[in-house]
Amino acid sequence: MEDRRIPPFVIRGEDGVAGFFEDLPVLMFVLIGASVLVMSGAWVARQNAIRQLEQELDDTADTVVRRVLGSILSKWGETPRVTSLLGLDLAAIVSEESRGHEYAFAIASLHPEPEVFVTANNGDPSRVVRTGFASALFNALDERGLVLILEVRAIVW
Amino acid sequence: MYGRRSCDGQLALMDAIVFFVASMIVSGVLFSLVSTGTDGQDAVSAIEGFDADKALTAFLRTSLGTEVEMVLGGGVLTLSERDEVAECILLEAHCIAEGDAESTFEILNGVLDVILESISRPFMVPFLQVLDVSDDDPAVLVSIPSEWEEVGEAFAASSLLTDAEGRTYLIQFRSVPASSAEL
Repeated sequence: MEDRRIPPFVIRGEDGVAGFFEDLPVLMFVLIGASVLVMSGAWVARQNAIRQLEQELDDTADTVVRRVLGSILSKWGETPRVTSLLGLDLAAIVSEESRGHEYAFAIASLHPEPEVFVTANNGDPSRVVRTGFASALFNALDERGLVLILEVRAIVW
Repeated sequence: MYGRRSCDGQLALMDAIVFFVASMIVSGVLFSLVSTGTDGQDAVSAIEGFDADKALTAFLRTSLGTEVEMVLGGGVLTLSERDEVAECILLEAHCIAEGDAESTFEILNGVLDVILESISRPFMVPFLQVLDVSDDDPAVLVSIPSEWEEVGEAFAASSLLTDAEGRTYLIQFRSVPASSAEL
């Protein structure tokens, strides 16, 4: 028995001989465990990257809305006339604040009648995957003397 | 038995199983941490960035938008489409505090409800309540809609209005995700 030739890849312990194939269950558990760790790590990293992108888009949309609303209110006070808004070149402001992202922007009336007054957009909406959205409400006076509720909306992608 | 047995009797297979279980636990913790942050994200995205203070201010300052007639004190009172919502609410609260029936203002409340709906985000339900806070014991005078939902999660804002007689009213505005309001 002592003289029997043992192949070099077979590991021999004090309690017996255990070759590569006897360690397959060990290998399976280690490989599956390592794979699970790698996959979950990759998934978490991807989720974090998506969340950061969405946060950046939301921040950009919020900046656009704040900047537009600020320029309107600083120019005409708390209740601007609707006719004044129609002549405003908002596309320049929106383009400047969108930080290279594509966007769709609108100022619309919510009350008393739904109506869109100003729109601006840049880009192809068919390629949208993730978007950031922001909006703000303000009042404006129309030609009938009614105080309307208007909403500034920005979608960035 | 599978695996190698070393000098001190420890099984490599046991080590592998421990590693496997530990990796599953770590993965589970990672998944749960990330999914905790994304739970209810659909509901949040619908209301993200909603500024209840600005919504209430815009609501109070806007015009009624439609003419409203009501029988009050034996006569017919007509509210013009240009009348400010805040003035109409003050009138209603004052009249109810003086003893007028709440049913008198059903049409006005319907108009106010439509305006509230128009400024709310999709999948959100707006609520408005007017309380007389002139005394130590605040009294609810107006609720729009009439069923005031008590839910935990809501975007809320409030404002104080004072009528000509110096009586102070607290206007409470809440915008609640529709799923919460329907519970």
